[in-house]
Amino acid sequence: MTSLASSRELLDRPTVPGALLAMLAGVAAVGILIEGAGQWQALVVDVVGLALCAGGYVAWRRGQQVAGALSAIAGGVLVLVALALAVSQPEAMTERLELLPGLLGLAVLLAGLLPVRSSWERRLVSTGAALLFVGVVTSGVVRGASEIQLLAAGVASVLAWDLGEQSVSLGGQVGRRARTRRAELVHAGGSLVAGAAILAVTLGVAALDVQGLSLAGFAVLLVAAFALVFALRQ
Amino acid sequence: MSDVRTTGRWRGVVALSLFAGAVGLLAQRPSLLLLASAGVGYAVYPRLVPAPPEPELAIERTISEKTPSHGESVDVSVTVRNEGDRWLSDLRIVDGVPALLPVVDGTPRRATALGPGDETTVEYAVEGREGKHRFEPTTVLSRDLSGATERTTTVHEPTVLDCGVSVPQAALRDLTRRRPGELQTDDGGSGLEFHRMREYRRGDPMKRIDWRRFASGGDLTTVEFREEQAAAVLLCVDVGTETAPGEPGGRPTAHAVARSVAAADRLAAALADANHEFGLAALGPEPCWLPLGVGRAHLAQLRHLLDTDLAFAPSTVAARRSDAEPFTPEDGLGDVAPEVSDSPRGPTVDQPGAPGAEPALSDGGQTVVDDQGHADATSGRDRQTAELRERFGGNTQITLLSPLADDDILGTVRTLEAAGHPVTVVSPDTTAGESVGNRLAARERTTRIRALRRLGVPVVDWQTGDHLGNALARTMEGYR
Repeated sequence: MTSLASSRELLDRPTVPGALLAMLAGVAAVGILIEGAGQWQALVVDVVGLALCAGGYVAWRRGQQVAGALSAIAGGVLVLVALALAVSQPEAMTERLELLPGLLGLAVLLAGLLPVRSSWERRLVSTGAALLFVGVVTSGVVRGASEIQLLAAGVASVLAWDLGEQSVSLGGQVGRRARTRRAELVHAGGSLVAGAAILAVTLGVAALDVQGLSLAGFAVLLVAAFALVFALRQ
Repeated sequence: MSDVRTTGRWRGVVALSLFAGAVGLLAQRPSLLLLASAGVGYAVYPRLVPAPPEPELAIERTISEKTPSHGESVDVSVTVRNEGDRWLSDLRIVDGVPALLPVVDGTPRRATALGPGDETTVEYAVEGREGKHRFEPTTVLSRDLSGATERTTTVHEPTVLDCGVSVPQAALRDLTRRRPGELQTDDGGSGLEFHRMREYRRGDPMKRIDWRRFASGGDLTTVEFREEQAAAVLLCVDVGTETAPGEPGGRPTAHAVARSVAAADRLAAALADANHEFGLAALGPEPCWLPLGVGRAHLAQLRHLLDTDLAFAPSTVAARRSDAEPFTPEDGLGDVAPEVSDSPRGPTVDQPGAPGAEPALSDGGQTVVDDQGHADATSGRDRQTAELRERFGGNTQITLLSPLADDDILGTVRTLEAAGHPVTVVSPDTTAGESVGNRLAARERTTRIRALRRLGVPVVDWQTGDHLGNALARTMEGYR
C-alpha cells in the first residue's frame, strides 16, 4: 500500500528540474546583491541548510523516516543559524536588514516546491518570490546598490517565481514522475532571454544620460510605461 | 478541435513594478524606479511571444500484447510527432489510458518541446484486466513560450486491448429457427444423436430404415435422430440509462461495460463457430444495431462495432462525468488538464476489487452519467426496450449482457419474455469489494438474479476472475 500512496502523491507534486532551476534563480537573486564576507557566509549556510531540508524530505518520502527527520531538523537549524548570521554579522545596521527577506524567501520558495503542504504550492512559491523581490528593493533603499545589480537581481527573483510556477503547473498536469526536462529548459530559456532583453533595454535607457533626469521625470516615465502595459492588455 | 484559454500567470507581475515604483518614489531612489521596469517588461513579455499554433500532431500507439491475460503486464509505447512547421515549445501529453487498466510501470505523461518534425515517445506499462478496453484520445496541452496561452487538443489513435479467454459454447435456450445447426432440440428428424424409433411412413428416406429389424421381424421401422438446428441470437449489451448525474443507485459502470463487451465478443465467436445467426444491439443512450447474420465476416463486423462504435465507448460511459463536473479554472491558476482526471472519484458501487490497482491512474470505473440529465430512468429503459423490440423478428432469442445494476432492467427482461423472446442473462459481477456500498449493491444484485430465475430466465452469474465458459456451462446445464 505504501507504493500506492506514494505514487498518488507523486502525481501532483512540482517537477524536480523546474524546482532546481527556480531555487537556482532564487539564490542568484540574493547572491547578486551581496557585499562582504559576512553576508556570503550567511547565504552559504542558508543554502546548505535548505539542501539538507530537501534531502531529508526526499529520504522521508523513500521510507527512511529517521534519517530524513534528522537531516531536515539539522537543515532547519542551519537556516536559523543563517538568519542569525545575517542579522548579527555585518557591522552596519543597514546591511543587517537587507539579507533577511531574501533568506526567508528562499526557505518559503523551497517549502512551496517540496511541497510542505499540497495545494499550497502556488501560494508559497509566490510568497517566496515576493520576499526575494522585497529583499532586492530593500537593498536598493538601504544601500543604494548599483542599477545593474538591482535589475539583475529583480529579474532573477521574477525568474524564480516563473520557473517555480512552471514546475508546479507541470507537476499538476503531468506529475513528478514524467520526463519534463526539455519543456522546462526551453521555458526557462525563453524567460531568461526576456530577462536579458529587459536588462539591456533598461540599461540602454539609463545610459541615455538619465542622471540629469529628476525623480519626477522618472516617475512620469514609469507611469507612461504602465499606461503602455495596460493599453497592450486591452 | 482545440480549446484556447489564457492562463493569466503573468498577471501579478505588474504588482512588483508598482511596489518597486512606490518605494522608489518614497525613498527617492531613481535606481528603484529602474527596477520597476523589470516587472513591466515581464508583463509585456507574454504579448510578444507568438501564440501557440494549432498543433499538427501524428500519434502512433503500439502495445506489446493485444490480447493479454488477466494480470499480465502490457507495454504501451506512444509516439507523438510534430507534423507542423512551427515549434511547440511547451507540449504536455497525457495518453488516454483506459479507465480500468492500472498503470504499473512508468507514466503515460510527458512534457516536452517539439521542433518541426521532432517526435517523442512515451513508454509505460499497464496491467491487463478482464474485459475489452479502448484507449481514449490522447490529451495534448500546448503552451506558448511564456505559458500565458494554453491550447487543449485531443489526438485519437484507436487501440483496443482485449483481455479474457474464449468460450466454447454460447448460452442458448430451446427456441429455434429451421436451419441446421448445433442446438439440440426435442424434435426428431435427421441429426447425430438417437432420438426414437417409429413406424415407417411413406416417404421416409431408405437409409433411415432399420433394416436389421426388418430382417428379423418383417415390419418396417424408421430411426429418428435428434434434430439439430440453428438459433438466432441477439447479443444485447446493457450500457445503462440516461439518469440524472449524482442520483443514487447502481448504474452500469465502465468496468461492467468493458466485461460485457468482452463477453459479447466471445459469445459471438462461439455462435459464429456453431453456425448460429447472431446480431448485436446496445441497450443504452447511444443506439447501436447489427442485424442478424452468420459467418466469420459477420463476426468481424460485430467485433469492429464493439471496438469502435460510440455506444460502447468508455467516453459514453465514463466521460460524461465531465459534463456533470465542469472544468473551472480557479483564477487562471487551476492547472488541471480537463480530461485527465486522475482522482479516484466516486466508484461507490463498482470496484474491480484488485489490490494492485493504482487508484492514481485508474479511476476504478465510473458510473454512467448522461448529459441529458433529467430523463427519467424508468422511461429510459422502457424507451430502449421499445426501440429494441421494433428491430428484430419473432424467433430471435436474446442474450442480455448486463451487470443488473438497476431494477428497470428486470422490466426489460419481462417485456422481452412476454413478447416471446427467450432471454438469457449473462451478468458480470462488479460488486466485489468490502465497502458498504459494494455490499449493498451485491445484495440488490442477488435479489434481482433471484427474481429473474423465478421467471425462468437463466442468469449466468459471472464473478470477477471466473472463466466465462465455465460459468455458462454451470448455469445452462439446468436449462437443457
